[in-house]
Amino acid sequence: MAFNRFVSHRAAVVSVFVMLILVVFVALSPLTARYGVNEAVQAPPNYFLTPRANAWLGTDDIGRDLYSRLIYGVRVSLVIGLFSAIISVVLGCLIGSVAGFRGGRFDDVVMRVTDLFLAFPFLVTLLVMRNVLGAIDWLRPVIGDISSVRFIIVLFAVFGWMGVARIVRGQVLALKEREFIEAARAVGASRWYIVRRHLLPNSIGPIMVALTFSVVSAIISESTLAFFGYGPQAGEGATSLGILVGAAKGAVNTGFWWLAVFPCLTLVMIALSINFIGDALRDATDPRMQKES
Amino acid sequence: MKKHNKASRIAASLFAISLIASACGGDDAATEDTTASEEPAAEPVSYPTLAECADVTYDYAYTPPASAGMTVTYDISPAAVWEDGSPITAADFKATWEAALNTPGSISTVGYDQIDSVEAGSSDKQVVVEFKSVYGPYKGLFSGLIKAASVANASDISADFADFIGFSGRPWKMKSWSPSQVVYVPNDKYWGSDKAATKQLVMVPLADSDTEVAAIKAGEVDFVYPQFYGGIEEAYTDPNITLKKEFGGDYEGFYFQSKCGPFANPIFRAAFSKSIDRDALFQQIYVPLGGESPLQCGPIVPGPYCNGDEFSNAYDPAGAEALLTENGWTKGADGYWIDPATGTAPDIRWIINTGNTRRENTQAYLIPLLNAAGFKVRADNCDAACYFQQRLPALDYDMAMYISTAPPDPGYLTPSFTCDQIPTAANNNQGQNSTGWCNAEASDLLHNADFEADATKRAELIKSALKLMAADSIMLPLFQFPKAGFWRTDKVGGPVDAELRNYTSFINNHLWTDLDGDGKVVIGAEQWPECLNPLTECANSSWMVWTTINQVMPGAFATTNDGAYVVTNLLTGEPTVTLK
Amino acid sequence: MFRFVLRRLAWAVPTLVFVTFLVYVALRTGTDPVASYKRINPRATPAKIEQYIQANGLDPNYVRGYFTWLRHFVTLEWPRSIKGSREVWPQLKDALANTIRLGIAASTVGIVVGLMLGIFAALRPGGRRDVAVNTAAFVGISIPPYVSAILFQLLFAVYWSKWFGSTLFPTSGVYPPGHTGFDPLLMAKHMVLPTVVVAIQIIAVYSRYMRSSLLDVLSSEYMRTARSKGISERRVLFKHGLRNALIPVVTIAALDVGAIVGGLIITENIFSYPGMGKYFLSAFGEGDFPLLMPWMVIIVASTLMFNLLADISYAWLDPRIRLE
Repeated sequence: MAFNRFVSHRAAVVSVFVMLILVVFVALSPLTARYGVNEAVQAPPNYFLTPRANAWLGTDDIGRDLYSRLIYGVRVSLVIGLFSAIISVVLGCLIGSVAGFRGGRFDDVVMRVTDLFLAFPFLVTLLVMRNVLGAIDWLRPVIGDISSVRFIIVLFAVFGWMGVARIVRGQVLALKEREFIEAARAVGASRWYIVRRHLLPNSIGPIMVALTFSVVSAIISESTLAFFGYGPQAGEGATSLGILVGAAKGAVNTGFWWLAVFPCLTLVMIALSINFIGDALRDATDPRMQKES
Repeated sequence: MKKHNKASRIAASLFAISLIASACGGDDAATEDTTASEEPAAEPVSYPTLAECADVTYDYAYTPPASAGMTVTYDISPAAVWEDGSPITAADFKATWEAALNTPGSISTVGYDQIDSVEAGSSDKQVVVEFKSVYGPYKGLFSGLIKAASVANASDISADFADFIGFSGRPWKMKSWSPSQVVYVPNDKYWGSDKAATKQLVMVPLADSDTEVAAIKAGEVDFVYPQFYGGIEEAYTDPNITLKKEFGGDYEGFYFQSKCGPFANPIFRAAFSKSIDRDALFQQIYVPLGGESPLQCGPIVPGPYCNGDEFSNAYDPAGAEALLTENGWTKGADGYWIDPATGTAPDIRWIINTGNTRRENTQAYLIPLLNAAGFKVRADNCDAACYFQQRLPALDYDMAMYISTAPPDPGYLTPSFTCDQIPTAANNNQGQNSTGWCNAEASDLLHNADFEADATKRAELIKSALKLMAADSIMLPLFQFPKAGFWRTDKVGGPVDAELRNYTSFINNHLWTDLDGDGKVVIGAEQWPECLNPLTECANSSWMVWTTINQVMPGAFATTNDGAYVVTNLLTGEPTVTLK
Repeated sequence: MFRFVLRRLAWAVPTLVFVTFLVYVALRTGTDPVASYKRINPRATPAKIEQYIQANGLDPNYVRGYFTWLRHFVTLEWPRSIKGSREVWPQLKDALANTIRLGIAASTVGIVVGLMLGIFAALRPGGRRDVAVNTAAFVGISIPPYVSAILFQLLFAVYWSKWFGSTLFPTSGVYPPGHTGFDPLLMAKHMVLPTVVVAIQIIAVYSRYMRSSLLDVLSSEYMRTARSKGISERRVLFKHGLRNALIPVVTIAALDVGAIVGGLIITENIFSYPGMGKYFLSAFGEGDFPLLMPWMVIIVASTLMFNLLADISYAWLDPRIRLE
């Protein structure tokens, strides 16, 4: 049922294929990338070459192949997106279901913190909290240095759970009133049992949707941070989509269009594909839609 | 409604408590830097490890040559007057000295603190300056005179000139200054023959390099003087825009910290330095920036103080290998050279400031090559504030890469490369030698140069010190940066390209002519001063000096495009120098 | 209604104080204002540093420090900026004016176009134009503002002049460098590109809100009743449908100000537009506490104000909501 509805969302099906191809390319990166991440395509002069046979998408300021770097960059960005989304979804589910189930003061507090953070301009909150988290010395062994990929993942997870918690809480509140939960309660099932056996399985649709949107927002946030020079320092061996998009800024006036166009298009393509997939998932798992069809 | 607000307050206070807790929690978590091996060296020769850095001491002391001092007598041109027609006199020299020396927060006390007195000589137009000892770089003093009558108290001018400099002894005088533009009009009392050629000179701030390109292309400014970057010539491509590229005082280099850590061992340092192929690096990183050949002088740009071959032929991979092998170093299973004294491969921390594309590119290019050559180099970067304010001054690095600006006088080398300036307990860790290089012979040479009034002898002393620097592999010069002026050939004429590598860049702008008939020449400034005080922190920016001080403050000497000092028309001729 | 507004206003003040306290703590923890001061003014005397600490309320005790800061802030004894020791208000005022102008332009364009597209799409759900609008909205949501800004810059700063020989829209600033005085036409020309970039985001979001909201209303019982009474389709739509569909959209509009401000911050920076965003990022980069705090107060206050407006407009538009 749900699968059929998903498949009927044509854009989403195309997006799934796009993402699959991308993931395969990234997973096989030593094979699919034509050069190493810091390898020049040829001896100097090799800088700012236009797209050509030995550099399909052109080269950057030290002669590195943009195509290969995009593959390595997308790898880092996908890792950031997936890990921070998974952590924030797990956190969000826990907090959201507890808030929804217990209600009362805990619920109020969690939802008010969430409102507060979500109302503030995101970039400002992100930059300020990045500095605050980075200034806490005893956290450093756990979350890593301020410019590490690990730190970025933790930072995004710290924000990401709020949106998810809101969704899960809404689900829990709605489901709480349904008959099968009442019935389970009546036969003396423990709260944890109800959460595990009934609430979470019934919320899986919205949670999957939340997961996809978390991935997108983490990837875009990473790019935003990197664009303004606050991004991850992927170390001497790697790059990230954000770093490549950030370099696009400098390529505008010089007219090196490939350095601006390809990273930007890759970012938009990824964001659009995941957004379409999330949209289709939402349609496919929306109970209201179930009734109508 | 009420309930919700209460809840939000609770939420907010929880959040605040966690923040406070986290803020206070930093104190009990001491982070120990244990990157280096601390095992005692088995070999007879051992070098200080990182952990022992704070305990390193040097028994170097410099004894200045016995001297009773020096007198410099300046004769001011009888025609020299301020913008109101009042004569420029010895009183102005005296006020400048007092202000530079005594104003709180003055950044230009160097040299003025060597002066005993500044008095009028046979007339108001003669200045007699008594120095405590011989002072070699005296030509750099009195380069921007302050008009004595314009300040209430010459011993503290920190509150003056916040947003306007009203006096002038140059072809222009300031008409108005604001955070968005400065306007100069001709100074009709200027005594020289090089009077201003247009009715107005306007300078405006351009926020960033993109704005700069857009502004000159749109004809909003006539001239810009941007930092060079890869692709800049493409960015400025326009039929009406032309450029002149010259090599100025900015240079970049690698620096090896030798106070403690892996590079305290001179053999290892020499081998490492010999393994860097600067020519290949230059082709990859600096040719796109307009580079023609690597800098070979050392931490100084070509000119009277270097021969230009001090550091050539530094690349010698076979020599590096032989040097290490002879001294008992072997390559381990992972391909890294192993120190016979410790049995481990030294960990080399290469620091740069994050976000600097050129330096990140250099790391990306060079680290794999150095690793392949057997050196365990890794990037250990932090942001600009941490890099320049903490790690470099604390010598908390092994290899660094940064850019410096060489003033025309080589006196800046003394604080940067002498033993007594290495931060140690002896100088309260305030020394400015951030390479930790201590070579007693070189330190003596550099110090002696400061006490040498004869220009030729002084140059020989500096050159000898540079040779020692190369022999000790303490740094590798990389690149002398181009300075480029871009201007609209349809809007501005005259000698626009004549002073582009001068330390006082485009100082000749009063000679530029207006071609498009709008009655003004407009210069776009890459940085804009926050305040105009010529002595305090305000003046700690090249653009501040170029856009304000140089336009109105007359000086005894001016720098030429070739980095030499020449007497200006403020004086009747070379001042007389007598040694006591 | 009046009492409701008053009560909400009375609560807004303590909330503002509390949130600014959080911001104060966060900035002190994250940027270390004293270290920033010493970094920018390396030759500052101990007396100057002490004076800076006093003026900014940088007491080791955060609560006491915050109230010192608050007292100075309320009595308008604002400390001067770390860099260049400049007065804060003149800069902040200009930045605020520029941003409000850009924000109003972008939200007006964005909301009007967005709502119209949403209505346009909802009238024939599932039709070709619905799909077109929906897909376009998705693309709009998926393009971060800096990406569209870069592509616009590439087009207008580089290629337009290359192809057509003249610049159509300037890509930076409010005025050309060196311009003095007020010139609305020139200003409008400089605002076109940043406005479009921010508006794209708003259009994408609002067309979707409006579409789903209108679809909900059109399929509701009372609309069916209205239709069954024989009222014409056009009258149904404009008399009943739009008004009801606008209720949730208006609420979201007021709550969405944070997102719009976020988009403005990013956009302003790319177009070198001297507004609140450029002000914030440069002050944040320097760790300039005296510049940052008043900025934060304005942002927090406006966020709270728009939240309040959302509540009030919701209550006012929807007669089903009982006040008290």
